[in-house]
Amino acid sequence: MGQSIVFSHGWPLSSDDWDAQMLFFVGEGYRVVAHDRRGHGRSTQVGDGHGMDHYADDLRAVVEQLDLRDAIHVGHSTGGGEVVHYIARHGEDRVSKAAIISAVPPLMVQTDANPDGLPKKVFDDFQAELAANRAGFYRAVAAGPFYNYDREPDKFSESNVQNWWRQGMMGGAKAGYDGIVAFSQTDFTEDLKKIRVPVLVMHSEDDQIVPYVASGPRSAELLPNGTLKTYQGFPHGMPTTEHETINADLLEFLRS
Amino acid sequence: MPYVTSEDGVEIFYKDWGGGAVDRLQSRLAALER
Repeated sequence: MGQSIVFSHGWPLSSDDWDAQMLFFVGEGYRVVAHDRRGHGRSTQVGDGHGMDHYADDLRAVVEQLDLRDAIHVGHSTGGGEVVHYIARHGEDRVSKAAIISAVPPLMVQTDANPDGLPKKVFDDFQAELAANRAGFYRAVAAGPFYNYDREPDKFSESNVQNWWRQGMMGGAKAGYDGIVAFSQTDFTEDLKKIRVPVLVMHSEDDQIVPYVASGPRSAELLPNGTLKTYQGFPHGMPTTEHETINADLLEFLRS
Repeated sequence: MPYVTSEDGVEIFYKDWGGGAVDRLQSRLAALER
């Protein structure tokens, strides 16, 4: 069986968000697998279980169903947390290495131990906005900070915004609502310390969704075998807008 | 169907490209053996 790459998408998207990576890496000869998280995309719009334990267990179910071995796990944003929690919770017997991109670990929310995190009110407001007008909230995220279109309107892409919105609205409101707590308040510190396989941490200093200072560098420090790759000027959604650079850097890491 | 059933009964959609028929059949066989 060939080398497999398993992709875990970000909130509140679906496996479609990996189009640029799946097309590229299947062309490079890899077997590429991506799933829609529970409540997202084409998966069941269940009303419960929208937390990292279930996310990790669902990923394990996919890996076991396909009997994947020596898999390379790549996660974006919330998917990066899913990958970290999956490896720490289920072990490394089927894992060869991992990459996390613009990822939420170690912890997004501000606490006494995490002073560089974002105040909980930020995420409470996200939930309030989603509950009040999910379609409008998703549109605003995609058209604004997710791709840094608010800072660089000359780069605005209506098709990227529509594709983001389409994926988000395919999922259920409950998954989107509960997922905000999952990605912002799950502490991955102990998970990161457990992981022994090589992990590439890819993060931009200009990420407006998961701020760099409290995430990428700290994750790389906590990982026993972590490597930090820092970008300048790239948005949170860099796997889409900067896919040529991201794919090339991922390929170099996979071949190393 | 490209779905996996989670431990608590949730249907998880997935894509699986590039492995070809052999990988698909091996995966299917492994799933049936479990």
